[in-house]
Amino acid sequence: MLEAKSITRHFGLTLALDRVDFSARPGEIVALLGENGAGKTTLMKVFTGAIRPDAGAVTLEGAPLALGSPDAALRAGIAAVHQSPMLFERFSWEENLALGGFDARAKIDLDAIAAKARELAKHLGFELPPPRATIAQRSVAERVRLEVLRALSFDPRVLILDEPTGVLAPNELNAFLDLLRRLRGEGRSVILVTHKLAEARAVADRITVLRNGRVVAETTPADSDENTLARLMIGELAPSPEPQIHPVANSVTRLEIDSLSYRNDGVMILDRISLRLDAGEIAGIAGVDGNGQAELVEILAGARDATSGSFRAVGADPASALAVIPQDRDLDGLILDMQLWENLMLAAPLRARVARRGWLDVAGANELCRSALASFRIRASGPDALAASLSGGNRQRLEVARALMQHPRVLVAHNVTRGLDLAATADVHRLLLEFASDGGAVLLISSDLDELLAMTTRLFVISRGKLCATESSDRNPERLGLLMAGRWSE
Amino acid sequence: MLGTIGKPAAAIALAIALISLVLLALGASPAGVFIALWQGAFGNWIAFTDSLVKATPLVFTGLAIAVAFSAALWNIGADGQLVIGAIAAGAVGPFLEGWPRPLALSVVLLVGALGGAGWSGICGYLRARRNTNEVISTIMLNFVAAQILSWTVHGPLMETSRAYPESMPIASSAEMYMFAPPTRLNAGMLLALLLAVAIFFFLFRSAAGFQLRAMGKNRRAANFFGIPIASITIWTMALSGALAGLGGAVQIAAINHRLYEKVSPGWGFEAIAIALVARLNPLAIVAAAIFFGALDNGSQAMQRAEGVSPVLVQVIQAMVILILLAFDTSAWGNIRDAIARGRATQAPSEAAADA
Repeated sequence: MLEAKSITRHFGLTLALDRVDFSARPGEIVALLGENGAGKTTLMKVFTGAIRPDAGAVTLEGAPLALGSPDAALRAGIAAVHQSPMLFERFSWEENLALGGFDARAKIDLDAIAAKARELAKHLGFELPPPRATIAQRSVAERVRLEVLRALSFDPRVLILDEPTGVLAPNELNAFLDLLRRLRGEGRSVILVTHKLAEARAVADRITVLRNGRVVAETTPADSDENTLARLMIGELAPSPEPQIHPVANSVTRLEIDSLSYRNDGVMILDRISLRLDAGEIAGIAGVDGNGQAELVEILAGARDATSGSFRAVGADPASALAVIPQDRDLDGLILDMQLWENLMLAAPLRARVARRGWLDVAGANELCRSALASFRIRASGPDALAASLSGGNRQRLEVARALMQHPRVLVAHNVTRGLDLAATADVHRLLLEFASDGGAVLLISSDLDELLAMTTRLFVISRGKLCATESSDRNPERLGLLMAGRWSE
Repeated sequence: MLGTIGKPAAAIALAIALISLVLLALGASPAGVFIALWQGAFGNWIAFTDSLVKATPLVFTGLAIAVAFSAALWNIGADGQLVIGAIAAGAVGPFLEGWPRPLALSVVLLVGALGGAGWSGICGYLRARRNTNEVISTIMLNFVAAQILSWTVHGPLMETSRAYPESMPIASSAEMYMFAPPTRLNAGMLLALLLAVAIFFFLFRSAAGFQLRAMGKNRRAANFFGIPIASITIWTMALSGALAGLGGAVQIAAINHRLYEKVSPGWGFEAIAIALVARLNPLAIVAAAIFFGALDNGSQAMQRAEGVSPVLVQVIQAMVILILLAFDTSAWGNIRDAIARGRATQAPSEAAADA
C-alpha cells in the first residue's frame, strides 16, 4: 500500500501542497480529482521522485520511500504516465521503450523489445506503430499508449496516470478504462489523476479531491454525485452558462475552404477538404488526433502551404479576417519565456496596432495587454509577467484574448479546452459563443465529443484526412465514435 | 535589475578568492598581483585608454554574437567574419589617398561591414534554404577566412617591396579619428557605443527585432504566427557578420593601418563568453567587453611587476565565466525562494490564495 503523510511543498510564494495525506491500496483504483493548479501533478511528482517535498513522508508497503529520487521510486515499483508524453521525438518507438523496463541487459536488442511490447500491447488491446517509426510522426494518442506501455514494462506495483484520457477518442476511452480495471485485477494500485468527473466516478474505487493544495474530500463514487464533486473541486460552483446554439443570423459566408489537399512525403494528410462557414455559426470538426487536424490548422494559420486547393476568409481586412488558436499552447501558441505583452505581439494585426514605422510602442503594448488581462479575467501579475508563470487556464484565456482582440471574422480553435478545468472551460466556451452571436464564425476542431455536441450547430468528422458532414441523427457519441474510426458506411 | 549587476559582481568576487588561492600556491602575493593588474588596466590615463582600445573589437564581436544568439542562430564564426571585414578594409584602404576623411573612412568601414555580412550571409543562406547547421558552417569558414588573410598578405595584397608578409598601409585619409594622442583612444569605441545603443533599441523596441527574438525563443510559435523564419535567418546572420566585419575594419583603420598575417587573437570566440555573461544585452556587453579588455591590458603590467605569467589572466577569465554561469542556476532562485518563504509563513493564507 502506498501511503503519503503530511506532504508539503512550496514553489516560491505558492503553497502547492499543504499537509496532504493520500493512500492507494493494492488492487484499487484511486481517482485524484482537482482543478488545474490544485496540486495533483505536484503530488504525483513527489511519488515519482521528480519533486522533493519540503516536508512529509511516503511509504510503500510500510517501507519508507527515498524522496526526490526518480530511480528509487522506479525501483520501489512506482511508474507513471505523464500529462504531456515524455518521449524522445527523434527516437523510434522501440528505442523509447528500450528506456523502459523490458530489457535490462547492457546490449539493447530492439527486436526483442518490440516482440515483448507487441505481446503486452496485444494483451492490452493496443495497436503499435510500424517498426522503427519515430515518435515525431506519431499522434498524441499513440504517444500516450506508448507511455502506458513503457510504464507497465517496469511491472510496477503502483501505476500513476496523470490526465491520460484527454487525448483519447470515446471508443478508446472505454477500452482504456477496461485496461485500468484489468490492472487493478492484477493486484496493482492504480492512481488516475483527472479533472473529469464522469470517468473518475466510472472507474474509481475511491476518490480523493484536492483543492488549492489541500485534500478537501475522501469519498467513493457511491457516496457522491457529479455536482457535489464539482463543488468540492471548485469550491463554489462556477456559473457555467448552458451553451446555447445561436441561430444563423444571416447567411453571409465567412470562411470558404475549397478542395484543400495536403500531401507530405507522398502521404495524403488532407484529402480535398471543402467547407463553408456562415456568420453566427459554430461548426465543429471531430476526430481522433493525428488525422490531419493539426495540418489543417497550420494551413489556415498560413504556417504551411497546401498542396492544392484554396481557402478564403471574408472580412473587411483580409490580413486579420481569420485568427487561429493552435492546440498546443505551450509549443505553438505561446512563447513561455517571453512576457505577456510580447506574446500578444506575436499576432501581426496586434503588432501593427502598436507599431509606428517599424518601432513598437512598448507603453501602448503594455496598455493593450493590461486591458486584455482585465477584460478576459486573466490572472497575472501584470503585462511584464512571463507566460510561463501563468496557469494552464490563464494561458488559454490569453490565447483566446489575443485571437479575439484582432477582431477577426473567423476563429479557428483547435482543442481549445484541452487540459482546462471546469471554470476555465466554461469561460472559453462563453467567449466563443459571444463571438459567434456577434456575427463571427467559429471552426471548432476538437477530440472532445461532449464539447462539440454542446457547442456546434453543424458537425463534421475528419478521419485519415477526409472530411465528412454528419446528419443530425449521427449526433450521439457511439455513432460519432464509429465515424471517427473511419467506419463511415456502418 | 539588481540581479544583473549583483550576480556578475558576486561571481567576480568568488573568482578573485579562488585565484588568490592559486596565487598563494604559486608563491606570489595575491594583493600585489591584483594591484598590478588594476594598475596596468586603469592605473593611469594611458593604461585606461588602452583598456578601452583593447575592449573595442570585443564590443563589436560581442554585439555580433548577441544579435545572432537572440535569434537562436549559433554564429561561432565572428572571428572569421571580423577577419574578412579587416581584409576588405585593408584591400580598399590604400586606394583612398586624397579623399576627404569622412568619405574615405566611411568607405573603409562600409566595405568591412559588407565583407563580414557576405561571409556570414553564406551561412545564413545555407541555414535558411538548405537547413545546414550554422554552427558547423560558421566554424569552418573561420579557417577559410584565416587562410584567405594569409594568402592575401603573401599574394595579391603584399606590399610592393615583397619583403614582408603584410599589405600596403591604408591611406592616411582613411585612418580613424584619434582623440587624444599619444594615447590610442579613437572614434572606434564611440562607434561601438553608439551601435550598442542602436542594437539595444533594435532588439527590444523594433518590430523586426521582436520577430527576431520571438524566433529565437520559440521557432514553432514564430512560424505559426507567420514570422518569416527563412528571411529573418538570412538577414540576422548578415547583420551579425556585418557587426563583426565592422570590428575588423575599425581595427585596421584605428590601430593596425595595414594587414598582417594575423588580425584577431580570438576576439570572435572571446565574444561568445562576453555576450553570454552579458545575457545578450547589448548595453551589458559594453561593460563586459571593457572588463575583459582591461584584464587583457592589465596582464602585461602584472607580468612585469610580479613575474606572473599573463596566461594567468586567461585562467581568471575562464573562472569568471564558469562561476558566473554556475551562479545562473537555480541555486540563486532557491535562496530567493527561501527568503520569500520566510515572508510567506507570516501570511500563509494569502500565499495559498495566490495558488
